[in-house]
Amino acid sequence: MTRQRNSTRRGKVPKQEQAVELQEQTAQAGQPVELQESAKQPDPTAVQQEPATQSGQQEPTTQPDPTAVQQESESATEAKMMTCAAIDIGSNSTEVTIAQCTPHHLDILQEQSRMIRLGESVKETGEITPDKRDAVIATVRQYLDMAKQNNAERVLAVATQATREARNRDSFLEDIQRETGQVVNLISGNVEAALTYHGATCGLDIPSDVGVLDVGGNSTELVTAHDNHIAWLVSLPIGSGWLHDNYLTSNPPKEDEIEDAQEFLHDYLQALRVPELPPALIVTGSSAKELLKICKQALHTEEGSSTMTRQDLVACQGLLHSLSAQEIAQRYGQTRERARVLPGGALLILEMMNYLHQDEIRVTDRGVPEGVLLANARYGDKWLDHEEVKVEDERVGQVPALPNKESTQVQRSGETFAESGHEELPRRVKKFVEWRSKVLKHEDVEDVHKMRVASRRLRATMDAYEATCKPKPFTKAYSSVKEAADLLGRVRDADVMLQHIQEQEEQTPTAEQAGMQWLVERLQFYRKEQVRALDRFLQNFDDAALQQQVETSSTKGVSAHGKGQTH
Amino acid sequence: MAKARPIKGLDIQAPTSQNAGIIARTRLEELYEWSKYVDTPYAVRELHNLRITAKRLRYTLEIFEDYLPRECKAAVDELQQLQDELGVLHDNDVLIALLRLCLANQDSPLNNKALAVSQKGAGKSFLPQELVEALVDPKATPTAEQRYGLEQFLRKQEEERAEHYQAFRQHWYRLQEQEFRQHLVEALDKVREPVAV
Repeated sequence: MTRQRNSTRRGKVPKQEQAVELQEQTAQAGQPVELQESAKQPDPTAVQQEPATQSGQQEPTTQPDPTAVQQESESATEAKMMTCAAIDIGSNSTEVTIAQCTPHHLDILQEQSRMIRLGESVKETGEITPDKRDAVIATVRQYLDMAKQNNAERVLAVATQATREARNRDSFLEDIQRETGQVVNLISGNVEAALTYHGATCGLDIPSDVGVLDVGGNSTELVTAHDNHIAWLVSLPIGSGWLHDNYLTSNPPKEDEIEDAQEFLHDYLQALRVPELPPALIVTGSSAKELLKICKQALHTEEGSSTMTRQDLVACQGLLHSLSAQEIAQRYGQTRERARVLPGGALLILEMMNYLHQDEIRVTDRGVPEGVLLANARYGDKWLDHEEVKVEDERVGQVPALPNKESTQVQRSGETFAESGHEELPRRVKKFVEWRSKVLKHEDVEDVHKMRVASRRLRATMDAYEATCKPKPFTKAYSSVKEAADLLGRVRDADVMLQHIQEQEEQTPTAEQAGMQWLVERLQFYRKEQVRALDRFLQNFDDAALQQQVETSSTKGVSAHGKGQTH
Repeated sequence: MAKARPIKGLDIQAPTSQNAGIIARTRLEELYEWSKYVDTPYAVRELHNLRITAKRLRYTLEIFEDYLPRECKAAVDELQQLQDELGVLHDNDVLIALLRLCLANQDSPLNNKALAVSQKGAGKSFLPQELVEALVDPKATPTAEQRYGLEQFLRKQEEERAEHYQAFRQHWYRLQEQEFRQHLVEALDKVREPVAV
């Protein structure tokens, strides 16, 4: 019998799925390469055989000359098709796209992505560590060779959030230039958002008003467009890798980690002010692309479709929360590194869908690298300074402040026991009572499990802080939580037994099944009675009274029990 | 169910870390009080109590995660695994007890005793009274064919239980070899004294 710690048991893994053999390529620094390469043979006659030049500007913050930009733009529009390569050094992956470019069209020749996770080292040490730097240099070198093989005339490179955050970003970029000859532009979050918009919308049949979301490793860009022009954008310092490193550290993530991440995202996005909700949402970034692949493979969604519904994502999440990264990698052809950050990616996309009131998303392969290629084709050498790329006006949204975990921790370490109890107890009560209405709806048996877990955590917190509480209201509150926990436990235990018996029944000879069916019937009868008792209890449960009892009981300074826990 | 031991020496005006260390050390001692039953495979109630104490310690370490040394996080994962292993063992025990009740004659002393014990409440019986009543209901007794299936299912549960017990025991002894207790005590000792801020 297996007790499932995870709350998303609905997302069962189809039995017949074959493990996909990983064709991890080992590059110079020994890092796996994602299975994202697609290659078309270039048409040698279509590209000009000019020597490749390397372009880029280290500081994208200089003010543009509007006249010059305009001239560049016009002259670029008239330019012939040109083969270029764009390298994007992201927080999770370093990617390259090589294409024949015109201002409004890209003919992709080759693209590749390699998972390096710069963001991980920045989170741990504040810097890009030597192993990560070497991996990036090896990858850039490899991509430059690819560009050369495709006769690219120009190679453009950008670096994003993890590099922005790293203390040693300057020496990192200098090292790349020294070792490979390639200049890398460190772009701001707003430029990243604008490039994402240009790249993600290129060649798609989409409405002129649309939202574009790019879920990266350490940043997430959201752009809304009106009449095919950027109306608003924001770059948030959170991403799939960031969520993994800060919340979803277990493999697979634990229920309380998921709850905490969800709570953080919910609160964080509430502070975001999108002026107008987009009628449709296009999502890009490696997480979205890989989730779409998993959806197709595991849920057998339509092969050619690029759409994912909320239900698809929830089912994917079920897999990601039940299986280890290793299993996900084996079953669905992911690198293990990618598989580890996918739960963060899925959670972020789902919370964004909730926030933007979207029931489905369209996933595109295109993003920053394609945006770089188009911007260069449209606006010429000063592409980074063009107003459609360097958005710095009222269209830039305000970034909500992140809770500073480290300073919170330092601050918390100075808290007295009474103070931390006063803060923690009401928070746990809130989490517990939130489940009441869901359980009463009977839409998902897992809700009972989740409320039971919340009740256990609340009880454990009450046990821990009993000494800081006044005995009378505390005892009242404790006994009502205990009663709820007992009733929830009975229903849940029946569910676990029923599930176990039904699973075993499938593998049992027919002659033996009659007994199991009899047992299932009796347990279902018992469960029904327990659900009725639980419903009666929850219908009459007074959330506000519990909240008040706990708040009255918990004291910041006055001596309370002071003698410890006895429950 | 193992009753939690009252905790002495808490000071609500002292830093949380100091109090958290005291609570966690008490919960760790409680866990090891029940560990003498690890080699007694059919000490059903005592192994269940071991699970409860593992859970209490785990929750304590989780609740006070921000106040305790980082090394405690590794202990949380081990405790979670122990709790899961003992959890499946307990599930087997409950099911085995239920199956034995179903297979006993309706007027058997076993059933009457089970009913009497379950009526005393959760402290005395791990089978709720309503569950026992639902299974020994004289109006819904299993037929001969159904009894055969139940007997086979009981046999499988017993085999499964033996495997689950071995898995738990091996993990327990691996933890002892790795000096789990000692490492956790050392980590908790770091917050023994009030933390200067």
